[in-house]
Amino acid sequence: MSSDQVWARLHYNVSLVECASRETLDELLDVLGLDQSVVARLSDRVVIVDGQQKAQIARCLARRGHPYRVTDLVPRAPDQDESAWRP
Amino acid sequence: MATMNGNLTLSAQAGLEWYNASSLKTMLRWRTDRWRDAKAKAEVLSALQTHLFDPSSIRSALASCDPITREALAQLQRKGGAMPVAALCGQLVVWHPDLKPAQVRAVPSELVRRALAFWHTPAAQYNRAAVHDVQRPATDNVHATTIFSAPEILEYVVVPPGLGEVYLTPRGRADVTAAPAQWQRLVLGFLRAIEDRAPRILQSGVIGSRDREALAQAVGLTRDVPDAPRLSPVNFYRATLAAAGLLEVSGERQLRTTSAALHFVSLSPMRQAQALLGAWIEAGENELLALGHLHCERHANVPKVVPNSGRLGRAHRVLVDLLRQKVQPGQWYSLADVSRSVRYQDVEFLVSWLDPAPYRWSSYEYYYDRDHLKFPPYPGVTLEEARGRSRALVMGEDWDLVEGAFIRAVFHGPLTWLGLVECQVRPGGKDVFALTPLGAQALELEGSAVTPDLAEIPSHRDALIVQPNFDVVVYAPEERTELLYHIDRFAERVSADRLAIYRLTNASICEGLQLGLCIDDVIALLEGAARTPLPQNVVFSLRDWARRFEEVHWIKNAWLLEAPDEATLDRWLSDPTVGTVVERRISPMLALCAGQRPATLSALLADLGASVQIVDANAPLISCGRADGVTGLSIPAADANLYLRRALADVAEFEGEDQYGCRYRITPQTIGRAAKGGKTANEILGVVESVIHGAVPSGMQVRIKGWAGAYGAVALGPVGIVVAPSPEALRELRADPAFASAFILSVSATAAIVDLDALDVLEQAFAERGIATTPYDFQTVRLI
Repeated sequence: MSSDQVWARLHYNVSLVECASRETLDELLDVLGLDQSVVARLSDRVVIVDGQQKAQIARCLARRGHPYRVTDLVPRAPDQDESAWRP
Repeated sequence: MATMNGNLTLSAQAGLEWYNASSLKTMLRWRTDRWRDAKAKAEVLSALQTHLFDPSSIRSALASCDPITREALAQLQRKGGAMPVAALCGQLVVWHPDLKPAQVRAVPSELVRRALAFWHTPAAQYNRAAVHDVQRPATDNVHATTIFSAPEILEYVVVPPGLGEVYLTPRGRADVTAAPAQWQRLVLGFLRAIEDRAPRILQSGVIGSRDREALAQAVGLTRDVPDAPRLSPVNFYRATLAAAGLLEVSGERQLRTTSAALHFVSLSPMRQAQALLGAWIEAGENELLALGHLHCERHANVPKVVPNSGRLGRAHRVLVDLLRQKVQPGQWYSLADVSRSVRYQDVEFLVSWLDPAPYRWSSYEYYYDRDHLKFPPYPGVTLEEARGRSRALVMGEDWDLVEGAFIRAVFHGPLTWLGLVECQVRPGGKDVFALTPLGAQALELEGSAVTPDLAEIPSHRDALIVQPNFDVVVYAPEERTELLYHIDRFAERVSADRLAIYRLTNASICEGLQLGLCIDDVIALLEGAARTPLPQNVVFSLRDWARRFEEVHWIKNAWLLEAPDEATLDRWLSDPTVGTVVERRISPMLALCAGQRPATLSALLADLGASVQIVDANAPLISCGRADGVTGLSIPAADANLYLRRALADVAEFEGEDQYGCRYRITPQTIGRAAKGGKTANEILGVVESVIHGAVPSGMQVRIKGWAGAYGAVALGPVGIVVAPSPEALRELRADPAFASAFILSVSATAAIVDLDALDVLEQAFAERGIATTPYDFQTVRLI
């Protein structure tokens, strides 16, 4: 990487939990045990979770007692052009 | 020039060089009166090339042809200017079954003789002449020969009207009353079953098979296709709906509907059938592979004529066109007649008659057995069971076993499942079919139906009542397939009879929202179709359930764009192309991107001055850092992604970060914390190993394992040592009973450790035996 370049990261196959309010996310993390699966907290309402711990995350979310929205995008590997861009 | 298979261009003029001199002379003789003027081969060639595309010369050559030869040239024109010699002969045999083999075989030669068509043999010769003759091509396999002509010649060929056309005779009046709505219910039921059950991708394996059977039972798809046991209606609907863009595979490898399915549901049965018909033609399953009596070669490196997807699509289209042009609604037709009609039109309807093998001994019979006409076998297609005959199948002779069976499977399978035809097997094994009313509409046959508007959405006003106890009562449900489909997505079905009763529950509403509905749409649909205003308690509960549902959103398999700082991400998002793929910003430095994105995003970011790093969240740790001493770790700035930081934070202490990267320190406290959190020493070592180049330094490894409590207690204490001058001396000393009790363990061939308290006793015993002793110095005394 030359000195005038900055890095950009493209993250694939990321699992996120996004809540409608800060209180809901805090409840999930502090009371219902989602903190064990958190990779990084991005904001008041969004955390990245470890996608490998699907069962554990589902258990934590189910402890709320209400159904929740799940959006499952199609997993993918980096495209060929992106593989070519690998340093 | 003629183009063969779209990728081979043949030049008639240039190809003349590959004929022997006498053949060229013969050609010239048919093309000009001045043929005697040319003597040398070069002169003949030059004169022939001059007259090859001369209109008067072509006309006179055409006039000299007999009607059958002219038909052959017309067929060549219909096929685009090139076709296998075997197919040309095979087609003539179908058109003129009374012709003698020698007459059929002479037709291509007659065309070459008049320089109206030419041989092409792509394969290398083994033992044959290297130049063509008008009588025969230069090849080791005549079945691998193509005959071609030039557009400049073919433009003077008149194709007789009705060439290859045969009338399809009706076999009796048909009273097919299957309503289009019935077929629509089946298709929408299949879509609902997919949404409800989320089955696996249904292609293979035990889980796929179990899901397939369950789905077939749920929808009522139990009808098999005669002689095609591997053709499954479930697989057909799955593949066709997926090809139409109505189904997709989720990240969990489960089938689900797409947003396009909602638009599809609102279409009329005719439009739905047309959409699925188009998808099946383009991407339908190969019915030939599903025939029970045939074995089709599937290996890619084996020469075979098993049709590829392009050829299969063309065959499907031919059959649909035949339905459109030759079949009238309200009449039974014989499938055997359809097979005959297709064969009459083009013997290469399904498979190419060009033998892919360069050499075949049996092709010599073409020349030497003049009483019979030999055609090529179907390479890669054989009988499963021979039953007293050869397993090999011969083109033409075995049409009914290959193309005929294929046509039968298409009619009994896909065309029936598409609702276009109804098939019957009558006593005596006679297969007949008739167009359904839906088929007549979907094929837009004259007078079948008024074409509905594409955006037709049926009105369901006053179709239902929503009761305060959350029951939804739908009137005349059999007339409201589309409405039932929509309600079924967000309500539990209680009963379906003269009235259909559904119940709205928290779970059912959330299932509907999970399918992509929004609560306003649900309420609007109910309000639009209700006879009375919706009860307030129902509306309130629906909105409350939806609000609770939307409080938590788990997004799987998303992709994010991360920038080093907020300003940089601002700059990237202001770029029109990058901005369009971003769904929303979820933190100052991270943006959530939409499912679809341009493949060139990396290049776009590079143009904006970025060095792009790829992070796969399923395997985010890569070897990028290095060990600093025995407890330090350095990670370059560009590689310090969120996952790596998180993994290291579990086992090490963050020390600091600068423009070059970030530093971590492994301490007894961090390792102890990780061990307390359930990580074993090997797991901690695994994290460190996966983020640094090379092996973990041994000092670091011992510390990690030590701090993680992987080692038991180490016994530490002083001992004495005896180093003998030779191995033999040590053995003799240890054998002396006076010394035996003092020795603890031999540590080499000449040395042994002894009890420290026994040193004085040993010293006296050595002196008593006349053995001198010297103090042990580990720097000077060498152990063997």
